Formats: sequence, C-alpha cells, structure tokens
Amino acid sequence: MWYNIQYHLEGGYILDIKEVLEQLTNTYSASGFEHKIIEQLKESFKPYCDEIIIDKFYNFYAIKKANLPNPNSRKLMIACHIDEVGMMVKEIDKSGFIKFVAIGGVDAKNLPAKEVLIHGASTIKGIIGAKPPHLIKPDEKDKVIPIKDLYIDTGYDYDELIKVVKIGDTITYQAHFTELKDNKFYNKSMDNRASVATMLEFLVSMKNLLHSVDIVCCGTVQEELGLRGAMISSYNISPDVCVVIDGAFANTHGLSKGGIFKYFQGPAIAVGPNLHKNLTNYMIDIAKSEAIPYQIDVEEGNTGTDAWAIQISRQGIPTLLLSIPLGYMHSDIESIVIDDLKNTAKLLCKFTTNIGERIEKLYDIRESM
Amino acid sequence: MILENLCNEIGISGHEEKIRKIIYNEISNTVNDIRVDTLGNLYAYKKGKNNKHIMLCAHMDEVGFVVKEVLDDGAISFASVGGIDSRILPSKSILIGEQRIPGIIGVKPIHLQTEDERTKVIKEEDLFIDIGTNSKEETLKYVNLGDYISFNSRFEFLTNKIAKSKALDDRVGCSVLIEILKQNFECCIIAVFTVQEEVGLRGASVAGFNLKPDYAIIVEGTTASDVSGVEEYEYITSLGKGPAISILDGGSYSNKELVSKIVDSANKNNIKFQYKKGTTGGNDAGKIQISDSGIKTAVISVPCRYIHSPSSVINIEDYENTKKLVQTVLSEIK
Repeated sequence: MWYNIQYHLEGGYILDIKEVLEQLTNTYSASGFEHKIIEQLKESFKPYCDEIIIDKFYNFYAIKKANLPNPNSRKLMIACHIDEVGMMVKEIDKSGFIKFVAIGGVDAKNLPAKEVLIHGASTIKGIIGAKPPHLIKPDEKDKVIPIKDLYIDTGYDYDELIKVVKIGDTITYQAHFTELKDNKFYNKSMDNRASVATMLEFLVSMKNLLHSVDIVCCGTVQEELGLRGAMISSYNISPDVCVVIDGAFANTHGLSKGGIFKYFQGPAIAVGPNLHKNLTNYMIDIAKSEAIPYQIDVEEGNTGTDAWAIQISRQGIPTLLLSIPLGYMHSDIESIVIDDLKNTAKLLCKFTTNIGERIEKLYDIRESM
Repeated sequence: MILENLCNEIGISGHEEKIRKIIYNEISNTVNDIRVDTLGNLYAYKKGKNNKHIMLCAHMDEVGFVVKEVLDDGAISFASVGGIDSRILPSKSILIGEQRIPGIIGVKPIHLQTEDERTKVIKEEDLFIDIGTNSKEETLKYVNLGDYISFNSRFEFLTNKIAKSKALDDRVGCSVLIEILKQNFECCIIAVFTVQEEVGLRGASVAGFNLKPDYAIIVEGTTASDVSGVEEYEYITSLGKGPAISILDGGSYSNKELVSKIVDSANKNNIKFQYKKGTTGGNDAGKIQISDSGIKTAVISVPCRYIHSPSSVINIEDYENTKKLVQTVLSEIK
C-alpha cells in the first residue's frame, strides 16, 4: 500500500494527501516518458474505480461507473497532465560531459549548479555546470547562460558513461520534497502532481457519494509539449463535460498584477471563451453555496492548459478549468498549500454529485436561447 | 567519514562554532595543547622530537548568506557572505539559522518574464528567500536579522571516486589537518584552523602572530575549471591530477625553497601532483606570509569544480594524495 488510508469521521475514507503528494512528486516522468509513473497511478487509483485503461500513448484512465441511473451514459472527465518539464541528452563529449536540451519550458536561470538525474540504463546523478565566473568576459557578465552553453557533470569518464547513458535519455530535476511554514510544501513537478493528488482525493471521496454520471479520471501525457495527450484522450473518452485541473501562478514575492492568485484562497475557477460559460457559472454557484473558498481566473483566450485542446475535440466538449495556486512554476521548488488541494477536491465532489441534470440541459436547444 | 561530517555541518564566516567543535572533538586527545583566540581561530600544538616547527593552516568557514531584511509580505532579503556568483542563486534551497529553517530562493516563472528578463542575470539584491510565511510578523517568529543562511546540500558520492558537496572549500583542508594531527612526526606541528577567510582572510591576519614557524603550509580547496567549453590552457587545475601546488596567486608568491621541498617530496614518493596554472584567487597564505616578521609559506590545494556553490565536486583521490603529500613533506623536515 502506498499510503495510510485513515477513516473519515463520517464513515468514509480519506487519503493522507500529503503523503500521496510526496510519492507522486518524487516520481520521475518527463514529457514523452510518462510510462514511468503509470504503475504508481494504477496502484493509487485501483481501489476507487471499476476499470483502469492505459492507451498506446500512456494516457491513464480510471473509470468509475455511475451509482445512480445513467440512461444516457453521460460521462464526466477530469483531466490532469502527468508529465513534467525536464531535459534530454543531446550529446556526450569526449571528456564525459553531457550537453542537453529542454523538454517543455525550462528557465536557464534555474539551472547552474542544479542537481539532476539522468534516466539511462540506470539512473545517475549529475550537476549542471557552466564556464566558471573568472573566465567570463566582462560583456558577458550580465547575461544568463543559455542552455546550449550548459552541460552536466556526472563524474564519470566517457568510456564508463556511454555504458549507462545515450542520446535521447531523459533528464529530470532531483526531487527534494520539503515542508515550509504554513503547511506549504515544495518539490519538483507540483505542476502537475498536485492536481493528480487532488484528482485522487476527489475519486476517493466519490466512493461514498452518489453520482448519476460515469466518472473518468484521466492522466494526460505530453501537456508540456503541446497538449498532445489531451487531444488523444478526449477523443477516446468523448465525455459530455470535462474539468481540467492544472497550476496557476501564486502571488510569491514580486508578483501582483492580474493573473496571480493567493495561497489558501482555494482553486482559481477560469472564465473566458475557452471555458463553458453556463457550467462554469454553475461551478461558481456551488462554491458559493457550499462556502468553499475560490478565486476567479480571467482567461481572455488560450488558457495554456489541456482545456484549450479538449474544448475543440471531436464535436466539441464543454470544458472547465480549476487551477491550484502554485509558486515558482517550472522550477524544482514549485510550492503549494495542502488546503488548496483539499478545497479543489471538495468543490469537484459537490459539482459531480449534482451535474447529471445539468448535462441533460446541455443538449436542449432552448437552454442556449 | 570526517570530511563528510565537516561538509554537512554549517559554518558560515563569522559562525564557525559548530565546525570548531567537530575539529576539537576529533583532535583534543591527540595533541599536546589546544587554544582558541578572540576571533575564534583554533590552534593545536603537537610536539615532535626535533626543533623544527611547521605551521599547517586551513579555514573553517564556508561561503553563505545572512538575513538582511524582512519585507512586509514575509519575504527575506539577503546578502552573500564571501564571493558567490549570483547566477547560481535562482531556485536554490537554503537553510536559515540554528533551527535550519528551510527556504527557497524563488524567481518569477519563465512564462511571466519578458524577453529581456529571460536573458538578464538577476542581481543578488533583487532576489528573495521564501520560507512559506505570509507576513513580516510571521517571518520574524522564525528568523532574526543577521541569521546565517547556508546552501541546503548534502555530501554524497556521484561515483566511487567523485564526491559532491557544499563547503569542500575548505573542509578538505580541515579534514587533511585533522588526519595529519592523528599521526606522529619528528617535527613539531602548529595546526591553525582559521575563521573568516572568505570575507578577507581575517582569521589568518592574526594567526601568524608570534608563532615563528620555520614554514607554513596552507591546505585549501581551489578552482578546477577542467570542464566543457573551457580551453585546456584555462583549466587552472584538473580533477584527478593530484594536489595543486601554487606558485603565485592573488595573495602571495609561494616560498621557492618550500615549494622545492614539496615538489621533491612528491617526486620521491611517486605522488601525482599538478601546478596551479593561474594567478587568480587568494587564500590565508596572503596574510600569513606577511605576519610577524614574515613566514615562508606554500599552498597545496585539492581541485574543486563549481567552487562556492552548493554542488562543488572533487576527486577523492586528489584529497588522499593531498594528505599524503603533506605527510611526506612533514616526514622529511629535518
């Protein structure tokens, strides 16, 4: 068993979400290499669903059938991407140093002196290095060293290294799950494991709740490379409604303009053309009536998440987006607050137990007049 | 392993107490006398059989930071203690003070940076530490102005020869001195573990006073730039080529007679060694040489890649050969 399941006071089960989060963020699955996290997902979700499917791209589907009558086989899909940003081996030079490229949006500023893991025939640790400061020319002193001028030092000689590492091997940040003050935690890949942990907490809670829709919890692949898994998975499932969970920018020091969210104030519910207006308003109403903290995320166009691809999949899918406030996105010190994960899961539960009726109305033309 | 314990402990310049304690516990029953001066330098005297007095020197402090100011939203403004390249700071994990409060040097996510910001190095004064708090009041419950801050990095082996850690400069020196003091030599040894080298050789400035040794050997960690993108002639020192003997550096011109003895000893005993090929960098020798009425100094260093970062890297064989070389030189002093 991966984690402690504690009995909820009202007789259901709740998860130790902190432990789940630690396990998930300590797993390495850069975009394109998501097969590494599949076993862990299977074990975590299996007790709470009826069926698990892995498709040929390693999109993960945990299906829980409706436990109330569902005559029209309505489906609600929850989508979280299961990949993380990382790097890839480009070249190994004769002295045994590794040149690399980025997978997803990696900031070169965060890389010098960073500890990374190279997932080759075995996993080995390396340090990202660059030309030492005393050798930098005066006019280069203020410039961030671009990724092409960085390299990884594993301590291995060339001959030993090529036995373990080859071009194309994936590289990730070294995980280091740590608690800060105020129930805040940091680690690599909180984007988007925090959402996966939230999705699991939601599914665990649904075990004891009634719902008239089939639930499909979907882990999508390759979001960081262009929402690839979202396109494929939404086509496969063809849900009636999809709720995407991702990370939003938290108001860490120095950030205050629009599009920045506060820790502890719950999920940011996105509004805008990418999202289904009627269902989003419904989500907001539920948050209000159930006194669940929430924030509003104004997205004037592309939300930059799986929602952008899913909305126009097949014949079109009504899509919603919930985002968890997350600091320092795409670094190895991404930060979240556990309360925000719990409130997001709670909101999703309340939405799901009541969504059946609203879905029928989606297909009624009179509703759109 | 002594080196590992020394590296994992925290001793920022001005706060060397914990390092001093480890050293004291290691050597107190193998030396004849120990004292600490008012700056915090630790002096250990080991009597030999002959009349020669050799001073050995290593600094106990490491580079780090201090809490400079706490801002209204709880973020911490900091200043570096010793020379740290600000390009390595974004997204590093740190520990603050006695309680080792975890914190992170967070920067604006890439998505929110302008094109200009993506290519510009952020200056230290524009960086901040986040310990998870939300207000100045809250932060001040855990942290005080002036608290020391260290990189959060543990000693570990990457391969069976190559080790990474913070503070290899100059825990390698401290470790060599400790191991030497556990042995016996004909000559008398005065081992000085200095403070505050990184902020201007402060401990060394007083360490040489009235000791009057015949020679002084400073054991340091020095830059190795034998890495990708650097021409061979710019390597300064290389990993795996043995201890690096300095000829001239930013602080002192090593005494030719002493250097000669060291080189002869290395050759005679088949100890791999290299010369430090560069004149940059200073160390305690700069002050010790001009102490008192002058002291003959030489510097022997363990090559360290990524020095002054949380992930400095050495070849443990270079460390062993450095220790061996100091041993053979001491044995041959008559």
